[in-house]
Amino acid sequence: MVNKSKKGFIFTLDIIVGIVVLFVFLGTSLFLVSRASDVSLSGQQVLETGSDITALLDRQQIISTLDASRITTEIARVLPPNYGMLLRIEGNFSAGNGIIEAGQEIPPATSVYSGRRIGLTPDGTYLKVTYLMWVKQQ
Amino acid sequence: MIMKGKQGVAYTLAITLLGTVLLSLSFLVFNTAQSSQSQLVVLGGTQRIYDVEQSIQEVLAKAIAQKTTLRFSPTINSVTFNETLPQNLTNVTDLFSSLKENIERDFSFISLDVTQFNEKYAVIFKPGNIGYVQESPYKIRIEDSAGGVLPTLQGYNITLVFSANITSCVSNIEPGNSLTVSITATSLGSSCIITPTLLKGIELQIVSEGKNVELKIEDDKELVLDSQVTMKSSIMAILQPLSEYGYLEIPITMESNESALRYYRKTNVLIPLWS
Repeated sequence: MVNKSKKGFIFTLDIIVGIVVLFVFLGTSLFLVSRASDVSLSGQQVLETGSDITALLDRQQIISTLDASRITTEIARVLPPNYGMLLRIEGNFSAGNGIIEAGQEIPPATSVYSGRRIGLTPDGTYLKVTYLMWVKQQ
Repeated sequence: MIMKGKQGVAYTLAITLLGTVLLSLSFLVFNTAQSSQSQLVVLGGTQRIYDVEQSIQEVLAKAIAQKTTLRFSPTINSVTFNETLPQNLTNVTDLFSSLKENIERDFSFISLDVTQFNEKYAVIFKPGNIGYVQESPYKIRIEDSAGGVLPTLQGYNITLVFSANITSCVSNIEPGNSLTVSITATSLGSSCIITPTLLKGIELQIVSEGKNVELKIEDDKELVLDSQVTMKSSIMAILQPLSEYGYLEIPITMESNESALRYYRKTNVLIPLWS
């Protein structure tokens, strides 16, 4: 009788240890795989879209107009609908005390990708252009 | 009973093995993802540097277009340099100095060296190393920037437009077959034309407003145009057909050094063809 009770206890302990070990293995695996799936190329794509759009606006001499509303209109024309974009233009010019922002407002709690370029106005004023890009929540 | 015990050990071992395999695979997937992540970080960083480098090249090309009358138009078998003489180059060097200061302040990983351009105002067409040098506000030289004999150059097609009348035009042609040269010098009342001629060298003396204009093509295919008067010049260098479109280089050195990304590049500034 005592022998049977001991065996039952050992079996129960064995099952508990087995389940714990199994769950540790499964949990660790799930954690590692889910962390791995966070990595994607979409961030790079967002960055390159921002770079292309800023270069386009620069080459079309829209940025050098320093007209925030015109730049905003042009951004809306070329920006894919699922992306958001903000351009910050800094330089030694009078409008906006040397800082102009054009585009959309950055939503809270959003991953933002940024890059920079330089530009030149027709009168030779140096511009530092920062583009900020994000993916819109669906 | 012993049989059952053996089966139990086998099950336990099998499950442990399965768990270990699962865990190992998960680690493998995780490590691969981490490696991709770090490569993406480098890619993103390189993209950011590339953006800055490209825009610097475009801005320097724009500065030349804004502050000088110099214009370039390359084709698959020629490159044309247009400008109005005299050319004031202090405006562009002042702008370059101010741009260098601003760029190096805003982008600590970039360093620009404009000394070589300021010493010798030149643009270089490549391939072929055809250097177009503004030796003074009145003087242009076309030479091999690598010190050679312009091996890809086959001829010149030169057009000079004077604002005042041409009063004298004297040419001295050295016969030969190294270059095909045609020259058209025009003014309101008169002109001086040399039809396409195969030659080795030429000296052309033109007088306008009582001042001399000298055009000289040497045996080594170098061209010198020295004009004391206001005029528009268009010099087309005819080349052996290229296998791809050429590009123009300004002797301004751009050095990018981003140690965090192990990125280092030192290059001359290129003028984009669209400028």
